[in-house]
Amino acid sequence: MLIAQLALNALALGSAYALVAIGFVLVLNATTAVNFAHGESVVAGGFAAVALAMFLPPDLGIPGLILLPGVLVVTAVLGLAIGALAYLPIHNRPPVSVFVTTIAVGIIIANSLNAGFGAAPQTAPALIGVGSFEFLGARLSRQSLAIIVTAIVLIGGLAFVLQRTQLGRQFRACSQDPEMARALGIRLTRITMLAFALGTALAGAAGLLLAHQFFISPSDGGSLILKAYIAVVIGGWGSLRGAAAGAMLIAIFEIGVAAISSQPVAEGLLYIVVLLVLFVRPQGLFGEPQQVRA
Amino acid sequence: MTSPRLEIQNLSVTHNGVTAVSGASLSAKAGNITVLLGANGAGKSSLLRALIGLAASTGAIHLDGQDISGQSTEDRIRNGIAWVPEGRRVFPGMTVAENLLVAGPERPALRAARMEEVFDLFPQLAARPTDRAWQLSGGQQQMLAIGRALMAKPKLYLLDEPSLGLAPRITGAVADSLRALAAGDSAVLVAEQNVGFVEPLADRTLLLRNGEIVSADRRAPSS
Amino acid sequence: MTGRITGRTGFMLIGGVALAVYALFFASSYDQRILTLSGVYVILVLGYQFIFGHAGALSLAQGAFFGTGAYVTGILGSQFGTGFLLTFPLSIAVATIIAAIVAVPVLRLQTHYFALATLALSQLLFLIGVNWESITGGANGLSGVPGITIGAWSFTRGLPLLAIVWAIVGLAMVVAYRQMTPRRVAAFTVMRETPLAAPSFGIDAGMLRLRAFLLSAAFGGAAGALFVHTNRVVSPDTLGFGVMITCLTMTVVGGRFGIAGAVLGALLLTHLPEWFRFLDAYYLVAVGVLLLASVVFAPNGIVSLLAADTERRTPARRPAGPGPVPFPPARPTHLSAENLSKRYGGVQALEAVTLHLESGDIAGVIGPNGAGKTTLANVLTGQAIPDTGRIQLGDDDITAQAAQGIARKGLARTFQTPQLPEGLRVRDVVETAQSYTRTGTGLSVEAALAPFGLLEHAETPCGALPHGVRRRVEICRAVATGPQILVLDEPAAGLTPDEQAEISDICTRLAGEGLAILLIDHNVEFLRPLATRLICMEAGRVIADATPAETLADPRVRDAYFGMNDL
Repeated sequence: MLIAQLALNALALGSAYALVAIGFVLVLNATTAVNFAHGESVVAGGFAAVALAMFLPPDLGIPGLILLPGVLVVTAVLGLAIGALAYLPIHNRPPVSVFVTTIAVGIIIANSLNAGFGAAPQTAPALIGVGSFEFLGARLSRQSLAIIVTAIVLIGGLAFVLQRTQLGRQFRACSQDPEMARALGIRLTRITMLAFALGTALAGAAGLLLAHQFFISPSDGGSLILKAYIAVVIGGWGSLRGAAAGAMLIAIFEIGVAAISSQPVAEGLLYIVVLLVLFVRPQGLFGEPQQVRA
Repeated sequence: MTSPRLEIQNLSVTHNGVTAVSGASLSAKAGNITVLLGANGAGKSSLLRALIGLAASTGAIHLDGQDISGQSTEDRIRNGIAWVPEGRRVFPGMTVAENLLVAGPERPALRAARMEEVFDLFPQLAARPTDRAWQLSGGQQQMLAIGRALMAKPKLYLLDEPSLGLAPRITGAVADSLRALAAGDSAVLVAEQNVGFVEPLADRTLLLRNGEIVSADRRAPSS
Repeated sequence: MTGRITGRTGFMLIGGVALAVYALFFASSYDQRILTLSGVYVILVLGYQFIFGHAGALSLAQGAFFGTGAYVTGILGSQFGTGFLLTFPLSIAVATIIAAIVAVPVLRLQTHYFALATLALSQLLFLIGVNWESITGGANGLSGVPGITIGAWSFTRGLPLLAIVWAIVGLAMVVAYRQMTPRRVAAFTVMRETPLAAPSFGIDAGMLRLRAFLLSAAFGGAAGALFVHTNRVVSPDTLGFGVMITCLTMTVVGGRFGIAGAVLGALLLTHLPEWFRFLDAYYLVAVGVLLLASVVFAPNGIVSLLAADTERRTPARRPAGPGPVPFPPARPTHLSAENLSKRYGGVQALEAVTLHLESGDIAGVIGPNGAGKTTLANVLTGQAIPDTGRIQLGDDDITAQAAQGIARKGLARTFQTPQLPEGLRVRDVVETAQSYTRTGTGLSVEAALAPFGLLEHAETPCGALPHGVRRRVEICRAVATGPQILVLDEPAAGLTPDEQAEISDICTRLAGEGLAILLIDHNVEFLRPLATRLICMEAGRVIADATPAETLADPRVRDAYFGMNDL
């Protein structure tokens, strides 16, 4: 059934987007800063997968999933670099400064990848092999399933850390009241760097997940950050669950509309919808309505 | 005779050109409740913030004889100071248990044990460990904030207007908990503007007006 | 010569002559082309400075306006052969119209949403450019865009093209210079650095932002049009994010304010690819590093490192006069507020508050934290809208009026923390407030400063003032606009007893000239001798409104507020 296949595709794309959006919100909550390099972090993850895959012996059909730990480590380190270069030196300045520094870091990443790998789209190995199998009369793609399961595992792991560990509690405390957290002895810088590492690692994982089916090229970062941004606006600024939900909605919208008309129309409509949402509710879908007239 | 756990000499706090506290000197003894009485804007919060290291200050601060005036907030907490700010500032999205645990020591077993102690002291909190902090009443949040400070077993408690916004009926329970803190050989420094609340509590009272301590001991210090 | 050039004008003149000499005698035709492109980008950056620099808003649509101008000229020029004299204004117009369409909703947004909205807009335009093949030529764009011809003269390439582009740059500079008068620059500074106080200055922040946004679009469209005349082709690159990044980098590196910064940024970044050609593909990485380094180390741009903007002026010392200069008299009036209520979420911040103020009143307002004092001030001055009730100033019902309108009608206020932009001088602050509230007192700046003893500080930047003086400047700013009602929010906080006495004296003298003053403060000792009435609030309600002695003796007041016996 075509619908089932589309639905699975949408779920898979949505899972990958959810990883990106959640990683974005992690940094947002810990620092109140918008990380414009986040899209490039996804791309970096994809290319890390491409690079690491070169070490795999070909023709053995080794599942791409084996690259996941490597990708996570590489992008986590990248996250620390982003935090150290783009956030820490200027974290006392107005928020606009962080926008610009992260844009700058994004440029550095994108063009380094361009110089290193070339501009053409590349692909990473499939996660658990290509092809599909039959289930209840529908053909389900192995890759899509693998994406969904991997995303669930990663998000589940993150949820575990945030809910059940002391580190996770410290992180949430920092998000809710940084000064009080500091007054309890929590090291804010450590938590901030952790947020960058974790958030970027999740983005990198998304890159690995997306790279086989959707290809990855150095210039993809822009549309990815835009989608993460949109997911957060839909789901509520600062809400992890909301970001995941928003990401899912974007994927469903994208795949659904593209199936009816075309990819550019889907993208264009998405932007129009976002603009309309912001026009009608300038505080985002879930924010507090403005009480004070400027 | 116990020597003071906290001794401040000539403390001044200036922020953005405003002098909030000037030339304040006081001491707080172990097992005692020392009260800093002052109206709104007198400088109480600034003084406490300077002690926990969240506000820049000049002057000497000694904890158990050790000079901590150059230390960061993190170090002061490790040396045994806990701060219960005005308005309680519990973490609203986290549960009662999580609010306590996040303030606890590094070792999980010790952390869990201390939380049990806090629950023993505050049965109202023990009754609802999984409720989110925003769901609690003002008085319960105050208990939670005090319990959170307890988790660190500090030498010195700094409390900023613990009775603020609480009905007189509830402040009694808060006062009891302050006595419990002092009973554990810690020093307790309470900044307040509510005379009725602190009168029965204080072992020693100092008056803060316009940033200066204008009168010392209303009562003889107990040794 | 230490190497520091004082005064940007000198810098600009020297630079301009050097550039002209280079262009005429030393530049190859390739160099001339680069220089032409520099000129195009100067216009783009000048435009971006309005919204990013002065208005302080991170617009990510500047590239889109550039691309819009490019495509209008490109399509009309290559498909219909339309001449420059028509395509150029049309390019500007279309870009400005697009900006106008999205402006009102977009400009309301906070920083992070504004950036997103402008980004979404620019992506949308990019998609249209790439996909509407029939009109735009799709991914390949359109070629055969004619050069610039005006009548019989043709400026299609080389020196003539360079000359006309830079002539238009000159025109753009003139427009920018005339738009950004010192008065307007000061207003933008107030809006950017102390947004809370902008309405009290009489500044309509929305209109300022709109003006900046539309100007940025117009300049962007112009730059795009000229770009396409230089390259003779138009492609989706002009709409891509690359242009936005280029523009942003030029502005950050060169300087967010001022023509010199725009020229420097544009020149530098159009020539860098040539100088760093050896980096090949890594060139853009270097640009990213440059942008990052600029933000971290030179946040006001390279131009701020090279040349001083204004000369340091030593404060003029005026000899002490025979006595305090009197305040000008105020027109008699009254303020009446009936049954005001205001709810924020679950909290009833104000409940059934009624109060009246007459000329000569000094009404003190006390109350514990959270009693609603600041909410009352916000509601009276128009920064919050009451849920119920009515506010009348003289015969005017001002309940639903915008804050800057109320400021213009004669209700002035000060803030708990003095809202004074660090970089503005005292006289600039006062002048800006006077200029934008337009109450037509005809009071000169000196006459406004003198009664406050601030003449000696007139040329000092606010950031260099001690706290007590800042408080006086804040009140002076409010009084300089010639108000009839003054709302002071904690004017005595953090002041020494001497400074408090000064403020107290100022208030008494002002009331003596007919001003009505509402004075919110914690410090009862400060209020008791000063106030003609003392209002006590608790939990959003007024619980006492009588003479200070009566109010302080009121058992409800003692219960709610004090609990202290020694006052």
